[in-house]
Amino acid sequence: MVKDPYASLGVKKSATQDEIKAAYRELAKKLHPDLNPGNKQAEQQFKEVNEAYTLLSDPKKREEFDRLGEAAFGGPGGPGQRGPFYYETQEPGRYSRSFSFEGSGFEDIFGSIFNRMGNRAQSGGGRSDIFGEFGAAPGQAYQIEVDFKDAVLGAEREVTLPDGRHFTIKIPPGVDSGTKLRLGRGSQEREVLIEIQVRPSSIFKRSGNNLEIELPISFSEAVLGGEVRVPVIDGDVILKIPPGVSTGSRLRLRGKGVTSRVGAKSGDQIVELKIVMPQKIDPELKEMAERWSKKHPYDPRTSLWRDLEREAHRAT
Amino acid sequence: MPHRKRQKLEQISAETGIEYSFLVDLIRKHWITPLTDLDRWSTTPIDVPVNWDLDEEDVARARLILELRNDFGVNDEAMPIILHLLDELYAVRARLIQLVGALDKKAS
Repeated sequence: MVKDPYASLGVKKSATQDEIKAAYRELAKKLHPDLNPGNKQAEQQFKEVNEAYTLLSDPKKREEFDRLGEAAFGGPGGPGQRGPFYYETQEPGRYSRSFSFEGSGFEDIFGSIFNRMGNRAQSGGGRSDIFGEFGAAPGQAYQIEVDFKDAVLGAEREVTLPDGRHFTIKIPPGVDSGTKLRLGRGSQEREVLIEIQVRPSSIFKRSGNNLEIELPISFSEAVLGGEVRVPVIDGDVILKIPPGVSTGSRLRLRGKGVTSRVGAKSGDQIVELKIVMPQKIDPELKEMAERWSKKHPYDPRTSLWRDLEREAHRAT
Repeated sequence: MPHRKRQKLEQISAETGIEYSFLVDLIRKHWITPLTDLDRWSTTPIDVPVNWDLDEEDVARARLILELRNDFGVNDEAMPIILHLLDELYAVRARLIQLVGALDKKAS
């Protein structure tokens, strides 16, 4: 049920459209959530005011409301439904990310807090992980999305900016989301900042300079070992699986990870194995498992119970 | 960073009631910047509105600009200043939240 819109705006029923508008503007300036980020009370009030204004600023809706009363406008999905406020989309926001705090006194303020608390001395360079990644200059900024593969291997693209300028963008190998490239540096015209967003891959995951992949293997491959084809970022390779691996066993493909600089040491590709049983367990497999387990019983959970007991012991 | 859904200007305009030409104007003024797919960017010029996609954050920003203009009487001269200050405020806010998080971690 909507609140009485006249009460929400604090106007009389006889108020003119201009008075309604003025009342709304006055309240909106005070209550707008983007000027009061995080203040839920202001946000709720703003929504009410906004809803009331949406209704009363439309002469047709206002007339209908005066005639039929609140009942006609109740229920969810009524006026005032809107997407998130701008501030709600800002952690971390694309537009607020390109601010540099260097030389602004910002670091000094927090530096003194850290000094006072003595944390800086303890953590050594600990401050850098809090103040690390900022450092962009304001200016014309664009964001581009690149494929996971292009981000790992590097790429080159021709682009034309909205102002007609033409650039060749070199995506250096090993870039990650948030990497910023500067174009037009040193030229007379304004510098352009390009921020890279890496499109995630459904197959590869990046962890530092290593690439990780989950590789399904069959039951018999796990028991007997074997050679299987594994995708790597620039193609595929044959990987030798030793006999007797488990789900979660990790194998390393040296040098198949990310090379961020020419001549630098490459990361590796880590292959995590996952045993996948056949979709249907046929009688032959069942019979074999029964026969085998009778002869060779083993309990893979021994260490689990032992650890649990140890933890309980420590807690007491 | 979470991947946000992106939509074409026409679609956004139809769903939110924000005028298409208003969105185009905001982009031309660099008050909002469409997130562009590099591969598409290289094959189709990005100065054509048809190639522009906006995400939730862009739409929220467009709506804020609309409210600042219509309800607060902010004109085109003052708009970039207000947006700049807001962005800076949010950047400081994000830093503070990060900082408080880091302090909490150290304290625990």
